[in-house]
Amino acid sequence: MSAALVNSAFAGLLLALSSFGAHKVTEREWLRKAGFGFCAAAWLVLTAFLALRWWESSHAPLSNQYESMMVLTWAFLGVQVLFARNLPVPHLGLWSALFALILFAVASLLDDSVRPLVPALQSNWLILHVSVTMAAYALFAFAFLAALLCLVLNPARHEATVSSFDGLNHRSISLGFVFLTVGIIFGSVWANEAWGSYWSWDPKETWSLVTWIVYAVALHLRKVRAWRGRRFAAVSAAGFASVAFTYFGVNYLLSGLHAYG
Amino acid sequence: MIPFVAEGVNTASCRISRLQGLLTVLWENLASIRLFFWAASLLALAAVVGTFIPQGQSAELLAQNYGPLQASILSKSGLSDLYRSWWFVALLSLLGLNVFACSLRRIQAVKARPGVFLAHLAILLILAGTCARALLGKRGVMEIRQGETSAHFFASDGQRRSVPFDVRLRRFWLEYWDEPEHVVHVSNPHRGFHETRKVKLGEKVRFGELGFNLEAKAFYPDFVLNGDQAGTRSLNARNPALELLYARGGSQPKRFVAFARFPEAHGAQLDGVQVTYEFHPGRIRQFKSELEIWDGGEPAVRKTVEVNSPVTYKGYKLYQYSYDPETLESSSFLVAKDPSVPWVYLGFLFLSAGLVWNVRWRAP
Repeated sequence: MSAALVNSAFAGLLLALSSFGAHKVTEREWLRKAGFGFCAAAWLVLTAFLALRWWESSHAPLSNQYESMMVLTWAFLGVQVLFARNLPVPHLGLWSALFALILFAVASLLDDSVRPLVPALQSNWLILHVSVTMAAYALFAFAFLAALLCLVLNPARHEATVSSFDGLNHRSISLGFVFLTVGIIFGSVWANEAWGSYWSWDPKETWSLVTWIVYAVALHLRKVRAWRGRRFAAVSAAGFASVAFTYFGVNYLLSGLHAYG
Repeated sequence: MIPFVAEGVNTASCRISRLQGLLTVLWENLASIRLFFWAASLLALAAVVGTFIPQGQSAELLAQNYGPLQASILSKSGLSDLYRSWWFVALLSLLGLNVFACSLRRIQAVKARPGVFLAHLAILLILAGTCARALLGKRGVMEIRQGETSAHFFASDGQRRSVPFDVRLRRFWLEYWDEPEHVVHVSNPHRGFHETRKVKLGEKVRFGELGFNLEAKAFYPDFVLNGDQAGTRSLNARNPALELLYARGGSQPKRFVAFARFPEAHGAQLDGVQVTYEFHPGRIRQFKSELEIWDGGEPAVRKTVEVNSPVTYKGYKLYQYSYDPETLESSSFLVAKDPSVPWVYLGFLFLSAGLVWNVRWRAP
């Protein structure tokens, strides 16, 4: 049943990508709406998958890389379905569907076996800390998408489009920064309850702080130095590189207390 | 005025105005946003470097891993204990001063945006809290054997410290999600036969096609031969072995031991049948320690401590940390006393509130 749900969600995303791609070529509005419809369907199926996984494993599906990545994909799709469809940002649906598909594909390479929780993860803080952090990553992923398009498009020829993506980039980072801060705070409080220290300079903690600093610098550059467009997009891309290393790199290249696969 | 007095007064006022000028320049730089960009970037870069170099290793271990010259460089530069090095702490302090100075310099603008004010105040609270922890906090590891009492722990600097009460470990045990599994693989390549079965201690398993029974008689987690007697060194499954009884028809049963770690070398060959053994340890669900805290000769607190569930007494917290896997007779606890926690938590609250207040998701 889980496999069927995962395959259905993947199929939904493929259909969404096809619809958005066809819309880009034909500019027919119904294709864009169909694309968001398929994304919404994929999101609902993923919701069912995560609920089933929660029931099967008797714990929230946040205990390893595979589960957190599926939650990240779910959060990313959720942001797209709930907010992005009404944003006047051209072809955002196409790029976000492609990004969701990439997340999905990467998740499918990971170990998806259901395992009981190790002692360190048996806490309600698991749900709070990981879910809020995944929400932050989903928003930063959106910001990264927008930043990438800002960097790729020629601002002289696509001024309005670049401006739209720039606005989306900034708003996503602003909201993502709040979620990241709260996620780090939840993690620190949990660490104090579990290990007697709210900060140990563990590699995962350190890299999450580095990510926080990069985005703090980005927001200050925007506010105080009025960085816009490509310059701001470059900082946003650097921030997402830090997110990617915090999420993946630390697990595979560095060891620490956060090594939960 | 007498000329040399006038000259003295002029020199003094020159010095004062030079000093004032210097202080103004210092203040301007300390309160500049440019300093924030530089200090924050350097701090992030330093923090990243620290994640790629093992932290807190002894000089001997560093020399072993990197060679004496590189170990000396890492040690003297502070890179091997980066987050406690003087220059990292100085960088952190500079950032704190910069946040303070920036906020003070722009106090009117900051007061007009309460969210920004709260967020910056929060950062200062958190940094001050971490200073208080570094200066006043206590932390270390206490190891106690079952049935014994201790009032001491060892800090990270190796110093022995005491707590103002006694801690008694009444019992330590592990809880498992599932029991360990013993799996035997039986094969007869000439007959093209291969079968895998789970076996339980004391139960007979029949392999009808090959006409024999197998019975698991004993399990040795850490097999050792004491003379000609089989035994186990410890409860830690370092060399798991299963004693099996092989019986075919009316012939004399044969007793043999199969080793999980050496299936090729020690799988038994019996009448053309190859038997190998695979051990699946049970998955640990929780480590539990039943603790009693005694104060002034009287029992004060009794609690079962497990991971994520410490015990608190007189400002000290004891966390389930580790245990002796060889004997399961002793348990280790992280002991922590940290006066900074309420202030840091307040900082966390202010930071969250400040950022939420400040964010406005404007419609395009």
